[in-house]
Amino acid sequence: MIVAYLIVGNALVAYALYLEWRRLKLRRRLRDG
Amino acid sequence: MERWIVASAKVTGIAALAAFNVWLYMVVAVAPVERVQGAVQKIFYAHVACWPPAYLGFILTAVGGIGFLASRRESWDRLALSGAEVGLLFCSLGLITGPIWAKPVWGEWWVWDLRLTSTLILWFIYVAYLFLRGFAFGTDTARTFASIYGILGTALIPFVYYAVDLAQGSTLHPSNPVPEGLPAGMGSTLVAGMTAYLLAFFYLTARRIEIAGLEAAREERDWAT
Repeated sequence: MIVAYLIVGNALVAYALYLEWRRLKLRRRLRDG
Repeated sequence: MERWIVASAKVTGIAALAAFNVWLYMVVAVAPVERVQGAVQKIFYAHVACWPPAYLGFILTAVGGIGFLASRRESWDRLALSGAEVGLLFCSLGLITGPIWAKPVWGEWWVWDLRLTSTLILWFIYVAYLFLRGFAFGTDTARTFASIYGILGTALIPFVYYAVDLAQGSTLHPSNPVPEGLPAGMGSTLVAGMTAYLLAFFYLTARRIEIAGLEAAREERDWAT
């Protein structure tokens, strides 16, 4: 049971962090030209 | 509308975090341990809650596709792409948590019944959609084709949802749960899970839309220079 919850939790957090990293990278690149 | 969605990310993100904490507390402390299956039945809350955001993501892809075909505005296309990507994430999680629950209960990781097979086909449809978007990047023809594909893809959702009823007993998969029809503690935990997942869906979609917008702005700038 715990495995299922760990997979869901880790996948959602990992995807959220990946999006945040991409967003910040793009914003920086646009700002710095 | 896009600006409003992007601005909502912070609020939905914080709300999702809070909702996940409440939900996990309910899974542990409020939801009863099922008499036949035992603790493994609690995968139910993590598994079933995957489907509303998955379907919603795919429906957003169709809405974005219709919007793009009607207006030719790229913001609709960004909504379609984001819906497919985040919807596919939740669909994948549903397809992973399902077998983890099925193995101890059915004795099999997977059975090729109507519900499971149609869900897998739905998953492949949106994997193909994202591949299509990845290979034919940025052209108006690709956006038009992806819009039509995304609209047609949603036609499978009602079939997947009602597959258990259509199978008429020839499937191991339980029927679609209704929170009111569940024992005390189970229904409220399921609703809490669905709320948390949907808030996470809105947060992730808003962030994905913002990224698609930033990518478009970068391309525009690169073209100009």
